[in-house]
Amino acid sequence: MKPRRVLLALLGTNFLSAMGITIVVPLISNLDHIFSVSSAYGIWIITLFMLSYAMGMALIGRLSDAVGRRPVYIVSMGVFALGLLVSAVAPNFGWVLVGRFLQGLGASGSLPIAQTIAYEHFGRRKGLVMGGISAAFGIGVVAAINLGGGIYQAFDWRAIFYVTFALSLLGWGMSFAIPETLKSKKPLSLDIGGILTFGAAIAAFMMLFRGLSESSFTSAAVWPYAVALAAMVVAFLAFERHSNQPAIELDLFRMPTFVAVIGAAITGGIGMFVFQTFLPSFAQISLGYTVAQASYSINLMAFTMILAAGATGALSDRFGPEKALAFSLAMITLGFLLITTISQPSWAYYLGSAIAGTGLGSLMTPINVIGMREGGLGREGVSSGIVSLSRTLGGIIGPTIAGFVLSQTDFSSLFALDNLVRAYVRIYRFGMWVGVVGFGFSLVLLIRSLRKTEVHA
Amino acid sequence: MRHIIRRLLALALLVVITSTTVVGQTSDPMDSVCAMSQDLTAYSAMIRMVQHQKGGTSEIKFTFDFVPPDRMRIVYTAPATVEGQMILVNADKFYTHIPSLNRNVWQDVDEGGGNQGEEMGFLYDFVTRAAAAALAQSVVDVEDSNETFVLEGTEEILDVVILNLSKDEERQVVLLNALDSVPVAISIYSFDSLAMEIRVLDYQVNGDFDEAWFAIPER
Repeated sequence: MKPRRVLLALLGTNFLSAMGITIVVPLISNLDHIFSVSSAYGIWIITLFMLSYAMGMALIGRLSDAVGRRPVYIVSMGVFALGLLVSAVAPNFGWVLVGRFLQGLGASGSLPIAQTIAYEHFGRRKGLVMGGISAAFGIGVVAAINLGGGIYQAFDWRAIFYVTFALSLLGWGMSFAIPETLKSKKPLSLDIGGILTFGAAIAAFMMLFRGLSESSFTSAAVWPYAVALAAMVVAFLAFERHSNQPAIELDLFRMPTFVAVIGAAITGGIGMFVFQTFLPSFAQISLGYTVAQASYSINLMAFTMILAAGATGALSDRFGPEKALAFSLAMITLGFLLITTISQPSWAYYLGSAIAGTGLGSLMTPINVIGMREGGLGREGVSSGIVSLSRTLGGIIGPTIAGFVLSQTDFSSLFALDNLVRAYVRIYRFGMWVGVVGFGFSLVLLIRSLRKTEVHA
Repeated sequence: MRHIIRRLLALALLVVITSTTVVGQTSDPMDSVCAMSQDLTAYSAMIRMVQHQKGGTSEIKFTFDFVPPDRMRIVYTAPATVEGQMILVNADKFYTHIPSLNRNVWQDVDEGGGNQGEEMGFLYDFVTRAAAAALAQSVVDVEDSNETFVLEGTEEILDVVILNLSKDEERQVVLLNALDSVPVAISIYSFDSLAMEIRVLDYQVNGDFDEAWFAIPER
């Protein structure tokens, strides 16, 4: 198999998978109008994708170890395309969500397996290829917002899914060009109980916040989900403790530094997904942009993000991943702060998003490096998987809470739009405080690494 | 003859002065505003509203057209982010158009739409011919004052009568144009904190409106 063709297939499929996450972002401020659903429910178009994405990530690594990279990759891309078609023809919002669930499940196979294939297939150039795959994924996230806004403005919401479906068929075709790189198959051992209870816990969390947007906590439509959430968390921990091949190895959490990495990954994930998901709709509301204009307005953030992503590897090597992580979370926090405090809306928007973009772009590499290092030798894959899963968990928690905040907006007022702007400001303030907590975790890691350096010196 | 004319002139002057004084003393502003509200057939105004909240203040300007009992049209003119936003109420139908979100919403009034006018306090009571009911439900204090109010839209200086309306924890200070008893400024206080200011910039009462002005667009 020609390396160039394999590389093209890996880049192309990952670009498309990333598009699946954010292609619907331009719809967010219009979901209640399009589908007549509350904001807290509407945001499931993002969070349900992230849920199946997280569940799939926990499953797919071990599945590909057992049956091979290639078949899992091809099936994943097929499921992704099928999900897009289901959303495109959906008669109602429920079916759009079914499609989104399938898309998330399919997309979960592309990035981790592509990284593994790159590692196993490209020899000395594996680092370059893995970086390229991450970059393709990042560019896909941003390109999708632009494309989604333009398509929605020109056509309608279905067109977004039809166009992405057509592209995904191309990606599916490309996935057949990927070679099998697995040398020896392992026996299939999946932590189904752990994955299902993890998914059920997240689903209960989402239902809890959907209920809270319409009723009080003591309502029968709300508190059972809180009970279910607690029960599923307990069940998940029990499964993981007794599983031979757990999705999350709990003994890693006995190490304070690993806990700090996970804390940084979850808070970073919340910051990343809250900032990116709500930025275009914030531009629509605070700056009066059209859907398409708002989608294009995120390009400054995208530009600084890509620049930072490219520079972080070198910075991390030179100054250490802890300093790079602290820088990243400080920039994310500052971006959130500026977007809510500068009185001139355009300056607040563009300056805040440019600075946050720098932080968001430099988040992933140091977190993964520290996570793999702290997980210990021989467990790099598991540690990296837990870090990715934690970041994805942040991608579910953040938008779910933000959707709840939006659902509290009083639209029956002459100041309805103003109230909406205030809701967005509250969301970005929430992001800022989460960033502060994340920065705290990064400081813990930084202080411990400096102490270690002193001891070695 | 000259003597008779002088007496007649003096008598006429006395009648004019007396009648003016009597009207001035007995015309209760509350009665006048109730009568004006009850007889209202149409109201059209340019309005500036300021909302005071914990997080700061926000200001909007809009045109407000109302034909009692249930035709309302509000079109926002400022700030730029809400310019062109429209709220229409026609009988039991409610429609809103938000250009910045490319959003149109059609609802029945009983589904919760169309209550936005209530935020204008006594001005909304006035245009809906409910001034008498609103005054009856409040403790009302009529202030003696020589204050004037400038209509920002026309820079016309008006003599005003001030009504203080108190009900539960809400208090409204209402300035009525002394000439026609139409509300021109309302300040709404909640728990003694200023919550909302409504300033009429220009207005017209009992004009003509085409029914099409309030027509809800087709879906």
